Amino acid sequence: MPAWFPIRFFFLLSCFVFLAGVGAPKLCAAERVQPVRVSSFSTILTELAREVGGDQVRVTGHVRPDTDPHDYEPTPGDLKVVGTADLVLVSARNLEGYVGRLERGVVDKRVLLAVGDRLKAARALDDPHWWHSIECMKEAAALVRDALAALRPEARPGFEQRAAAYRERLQSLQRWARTEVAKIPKDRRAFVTAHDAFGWLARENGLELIALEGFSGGGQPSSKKIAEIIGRIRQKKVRAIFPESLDNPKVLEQISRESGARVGGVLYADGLGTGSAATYEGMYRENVKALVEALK
Amino acid sequence: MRGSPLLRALVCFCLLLGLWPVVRKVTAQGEGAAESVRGPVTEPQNTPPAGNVRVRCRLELTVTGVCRGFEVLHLGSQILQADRVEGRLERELDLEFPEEGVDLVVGWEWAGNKEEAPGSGENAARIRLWTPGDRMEERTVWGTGKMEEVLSFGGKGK
Ligand SMILES: [Zn+2]
Repeated sequence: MPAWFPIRFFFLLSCFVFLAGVGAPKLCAAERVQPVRVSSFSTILTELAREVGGDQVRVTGHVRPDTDPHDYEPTPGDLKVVGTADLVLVSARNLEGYVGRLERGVVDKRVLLAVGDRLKAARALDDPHWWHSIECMKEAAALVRDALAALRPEARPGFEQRAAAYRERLQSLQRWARTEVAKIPKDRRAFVTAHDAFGWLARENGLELIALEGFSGGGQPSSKKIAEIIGRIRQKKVRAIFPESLDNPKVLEQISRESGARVGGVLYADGLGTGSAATYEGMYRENVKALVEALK
Repeated sequence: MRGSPLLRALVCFCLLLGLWPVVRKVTAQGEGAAESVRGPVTEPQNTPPAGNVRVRCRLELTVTGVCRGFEVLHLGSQILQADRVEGRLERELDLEFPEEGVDLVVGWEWAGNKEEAPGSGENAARIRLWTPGDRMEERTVWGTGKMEEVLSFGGKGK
């Protein structure tokens, strides 16, 4: 045995003891702060939960991008995941007809957060598409932050920090949108869409919406309704009508031919899309760009 | 109807001959009426759309500090630019002014040696616009550093 062996042995031993001592509390902390399991039934809320929750959440987005939330029905697989979730997020305001069934599937009703129903800013309109209001989005971010913090109080500083950063981004998006809409002369700010999904966007940006169908859409408008819309387009000298990413644009094309208003770019009405519309900010920008481009 | 077919044909011919001046008169009136309807349809095309009328507006900017760069955009185009404003600036502008009013995007950059506004530490800029009919509207904006605001002038209910 070489003379230096005991020194080397004790050095390694003390290193091991030191590392074990430092590592142990960390392991315990990691065990304590389990990620919050979130089930989301809205593409918008899936993004909000991920943005505000960061690595403290594990989010399952049940409604995929480019899916119509008005027609979505939860699968047995969805209900199984919901049963194990710490927090279930729904858009609410009558957008999802299955909230009652979800409540029965959720063990503790306190974990179901019907975001749209809790928004003070959303009370001004009956429209369930509250996410097209940036003011509503700011409030929704705060609601998700508080719901997560109630479930994981020790992670609250992180939730607060990320919610504040998200709010900042929403504020600069709002400033950008107002500057963009200012490019449209004020006598040309009326626009037509397939269903009544952009009331909030119109209201916050000084635009005027004429919708072919109600809040849910999906139906076939009557010839009387089509004639009425053509009349309003002519009366208000509306320059463009806009198809939606999830709709059949044939009726709008017919209205365009008969009224002289041109068909503008595709709008994202019912949630996030793919590509450049895969994030809330991207979706909102795509919508504003399409409107400004066709109306200015 | 009694009588020979030849007699009946003769009676019909005489009746038509007698009515001919009346038939001519009625037809001529119909043509004239059609012409008077066609006439006015083309007329509105010569009238310019109301929104495209340009009007002269006077804009006055008053700042509390030193403004290092000031610009005004209307419908995405720059209509006014100044590298440095101290105190007051006044300009005449030709704007398309529909009855719904206009949105002006106003951008500022405040210099570091700002004169502080009471209690806020911010600079203030006041914009006055004399719109058609010599109606004056005023907007005030507070801020520091670089900023951009959309200011609405004119329109109904204001
Ligand atoms: Zn919808």
